[in-house]
Amino acid sequence: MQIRKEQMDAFEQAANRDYEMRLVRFLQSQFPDAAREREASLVDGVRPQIANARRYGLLTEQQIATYVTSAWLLGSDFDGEFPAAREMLISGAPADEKSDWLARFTKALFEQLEQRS
Amino acid sequence: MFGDAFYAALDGATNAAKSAMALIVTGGKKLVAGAEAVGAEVVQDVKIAVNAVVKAEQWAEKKTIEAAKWAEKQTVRAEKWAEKKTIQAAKWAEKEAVAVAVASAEAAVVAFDAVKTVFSEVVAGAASVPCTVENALIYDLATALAILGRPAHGLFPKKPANLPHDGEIVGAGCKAKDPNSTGVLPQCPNGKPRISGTITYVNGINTQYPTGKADPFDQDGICKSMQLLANATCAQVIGVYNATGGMARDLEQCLTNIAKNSDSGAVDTLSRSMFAAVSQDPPQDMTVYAHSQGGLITQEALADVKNQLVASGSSPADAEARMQHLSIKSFGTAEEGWPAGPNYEQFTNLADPVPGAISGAQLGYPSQTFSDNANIPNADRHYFLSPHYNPIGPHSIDNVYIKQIIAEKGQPCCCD
Repeated sequence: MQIRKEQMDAFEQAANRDYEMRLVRFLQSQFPDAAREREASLVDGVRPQIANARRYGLLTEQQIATYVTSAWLLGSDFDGEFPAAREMLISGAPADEKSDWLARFTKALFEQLEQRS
Repeated sequence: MFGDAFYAALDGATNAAKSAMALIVTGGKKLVAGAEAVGAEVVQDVKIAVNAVVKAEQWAEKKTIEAAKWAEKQTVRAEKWAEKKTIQAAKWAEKEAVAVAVASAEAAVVAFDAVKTVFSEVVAGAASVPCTVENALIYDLATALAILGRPAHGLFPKKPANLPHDGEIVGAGCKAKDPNSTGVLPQCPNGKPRISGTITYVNGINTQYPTGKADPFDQDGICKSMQLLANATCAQVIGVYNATGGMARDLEQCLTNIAKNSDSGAVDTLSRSMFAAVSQDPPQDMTVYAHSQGGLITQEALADVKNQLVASGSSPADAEARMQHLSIKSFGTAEEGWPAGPNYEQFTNLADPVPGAISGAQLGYPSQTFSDNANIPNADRHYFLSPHYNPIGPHSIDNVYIKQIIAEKGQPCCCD
C-alpha cells in the first residue's frame, strides 16, 4: 500500500485536529470550569500548550495530555512560573519520566494547597 | 477575589521565598522543613514550598554540593520570579488562581488517572504515521476511516451495492417487518409489556442480521441491539438494517455517506420513512436512534428529506420547521454535519476512537459537512468515559452506549 505525501499531510492535519478536539473534550469532561468555556476558545488555549509540550520533548498522546492537564490546573505559563517544573521539562530526562514527574508534582502541589487552606 | 490581602500575602511570600531559597544552601532535610515552614497563606508560597520539597528530594538529599549551587541559582531566580509575580498578581488572581481555586487534589488525581486511561501511548506526530497507517487498516477501523477520509484515496473503487437485506425494515422476531407486525418489544417474561413510543434504529458498520438463527436475539447483530434498546427505553424498536459488505467496503461506504452521495438502501428506507412522517399535515413525530455509521446514514437521509421537502414546495424555513418533528439520538458517531431542523441528542464515549475518526474524515468533505450544520446545544451533547481493553470496545452500542442511556435516564419499568 502506498500513501501519497499529500495524503500523509492531510492525515497529519486531521490527526492533529482530532487530538486537539479530544483534549478539549477531555478537559470539559474533567473540569466544570472547562465545560463552561466556549469550545473554540479552549481549542485556542490547548493548541499552543500542545506545541509547548512537544518543544519539551514530550512525544506520546498521554505525555502531551499530562502536560496540557497540568497547564489547565496550574496556569498556561506554569512552565515559566514554577522553576522546578521548568528545570525538569528542559532537562535531558526521558519523556515518560518528565511526564510522570509533572503529574506527581501537580498532585503534590494541590495536596499542599488543601492542607494549608 | 484577591484584594489588598492578596498583595500583602504575596509580599510575605516573596520574603518567604527568599528565606526558603537561602535554606536550600544547607541542603538535605533541613531544606524540606524550611520550605514547608515558609509563609503558608498563599498559593505562591505553596508553590515555592512544593518546588523546594520536590527539588530537595531530587537533588539536595543526594548531592548537597549540587543542591547548594542550584540553590544559588534558584535564589536569584526566585527573586526575579517574585518581582514578576508582583506585577502579574492581578492577572494571576483573576485568571490563574481561579483555576487553582476551583480544582482540588482529588480533581488532579482523577484527571491524571483519566489521562492514562483516555489517551493511548500513540506517538503524536507525523513520524508515526506510516506505522499507524499499516496498523490501522488491520486493527483499527476508526483510524482507518480517518486515513481513508481523503477524497483522493481511491483504495476501494467499488461501492457496496445490492447487499442482502440492505435497507430492510426489521421487526418482531428479527424478521422483515410487514404492516401487521410490531417492532421488537421490551421483554417481560412474567407480564405484559408497557410500550412507550416507537424508535427507529439504524445500526453501524460490520453488523450482522442473523435471520434464520435459532435465537437471533442471542447473536451479536442488529436484533440483539434492538432488543436491548427496547428493554432500556420501553419503546417498540423498528430496525433499518444497514447491511455489511465487510469492513473495507463498509468503510468506503461511510465516505459516500459523508459525501452524501451513497447508494445505500438504508439511506433510502430511512429517508422515505422520515419524509412520510414530516410531510403529513400536521407533521408526525418520529424518533431515530443511530449508532456509528448509522449516524452518517441518518445525516444523509436527513439531507435527502430536506431536499425532498423543498422540491415538494416547502420553503427552506418550512422544511426545517417540519423536520423539528424528528428527534435524532446518535451514539458514537459524527458530532458535526447534522442538517438543521431536527432535535438532536448525542452520546459520545471519550474513549471511543470512532467519533474523532469520523470528524477527521469529514474534513475531506467540508461543504457536505458544514454547509448545513445544526447548532446543537452543549446540554444535548453527552460526553462520558467508558474505557475498554479492546481498542474498539468503547464503541459498542450493546455494551457501552445502551448502558449509558440507562445510566443517564434510568431503567424504566416496561412491564405490567
